[in-house]
Amino acid sequence: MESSRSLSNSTALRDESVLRRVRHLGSARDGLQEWRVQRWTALALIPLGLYFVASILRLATSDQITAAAWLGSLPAALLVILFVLAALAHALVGLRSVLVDYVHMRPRLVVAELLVRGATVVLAGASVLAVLKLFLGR
Amino acid sequence: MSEFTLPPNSKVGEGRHWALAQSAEHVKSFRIYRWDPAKNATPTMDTFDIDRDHCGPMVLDALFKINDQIDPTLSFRRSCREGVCGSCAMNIDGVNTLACLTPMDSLKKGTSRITPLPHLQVLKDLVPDLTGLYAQYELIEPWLQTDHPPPDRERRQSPEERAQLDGLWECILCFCCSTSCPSYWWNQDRYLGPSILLQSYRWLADSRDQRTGERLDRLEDPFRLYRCHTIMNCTRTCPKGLNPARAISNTKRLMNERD
Repeated sequence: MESSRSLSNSTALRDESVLRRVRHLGSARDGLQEWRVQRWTALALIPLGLYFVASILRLATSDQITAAAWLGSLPAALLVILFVLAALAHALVGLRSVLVDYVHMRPRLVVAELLVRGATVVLAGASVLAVLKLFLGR
Repeated sequence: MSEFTLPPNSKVGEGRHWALAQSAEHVKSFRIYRWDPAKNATPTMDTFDIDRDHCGPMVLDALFKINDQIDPTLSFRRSCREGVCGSCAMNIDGVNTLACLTPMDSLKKGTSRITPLPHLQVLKDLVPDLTGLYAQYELIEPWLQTDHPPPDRERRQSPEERAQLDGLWECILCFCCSTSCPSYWWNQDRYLGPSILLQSYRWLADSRDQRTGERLDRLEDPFRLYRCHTIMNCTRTCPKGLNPARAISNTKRLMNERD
């Protein structure tokens, strides 16, 4: 009898705490922007990616001078910069999503996010600089 | 971090084999997950042999037969036995579905495996704890909300407006979809999951409801809504043939149209 009473008490207590836990801190009113970035970059990457891959394949057997000359033209340099930025933005949103899915401890999540964001900024800067160097140094 | 393996006290062992007393012509075997909170033991898989010539056609009939004639301690939820109550949701041969709508003829030959809906706390045998899911259902306030006082007659809808609710009102909250969703497995404390989001869209799509904005406010959250990655296990598993993935993507579309 004693044990059944304590069981029902703990069940009632749990039912109350579950609703509180589900409501948590309320809605963050966030997530739409990231969803939009993911969608828009996905769309942009279809033509940009096709252009980039086709260009790389076309240059695969050429020498270094020809390849460098390709990025000396304004449309090519612009399209490659746009491709790199769209790809990195898409990758950042995707990686962040994976982290949020699986990393449930806040300190680890913050560290992982800083690393991913930092790496993205470094990669974006390095890629854009590399293209600009070839474009301006022709 | 996410748990990718079972904790030690949940490792499943081999259980008892309940063989038929006399030989039968058509035999179907089930390996069924057993766990009793009163026994302080790890779960086991018990094997039950069923004489199909003395059993109804559905998996639920086999469970009834086990419960009536073989082992009365087997626990499972059931009520309507015709796919309108959603109680007998369980995992049959790796697929979340309703035992009452699954003919034994549709199962693979040999032994079939029955486990509770995945990634929920088990209360006993095939009975999972649905408290969290019901609390999430409460969160979305699943009832008609308007600023007007109730009219003397019914609230009217055009046939086209009513058609918007088709594919939504049929949901029976069996939670086959939510428990088939990897996103829900990893974040069920904060992600609402396909079943609750489909129910939520049922009220977003209702021409009589006047709280669409508030409902969207409540959902606009990286966890509550945007953990959906359109994996679409929900749509594949739904025993009622509904499409929770489309309801979620419609919700995201509404969210996008707000500014």
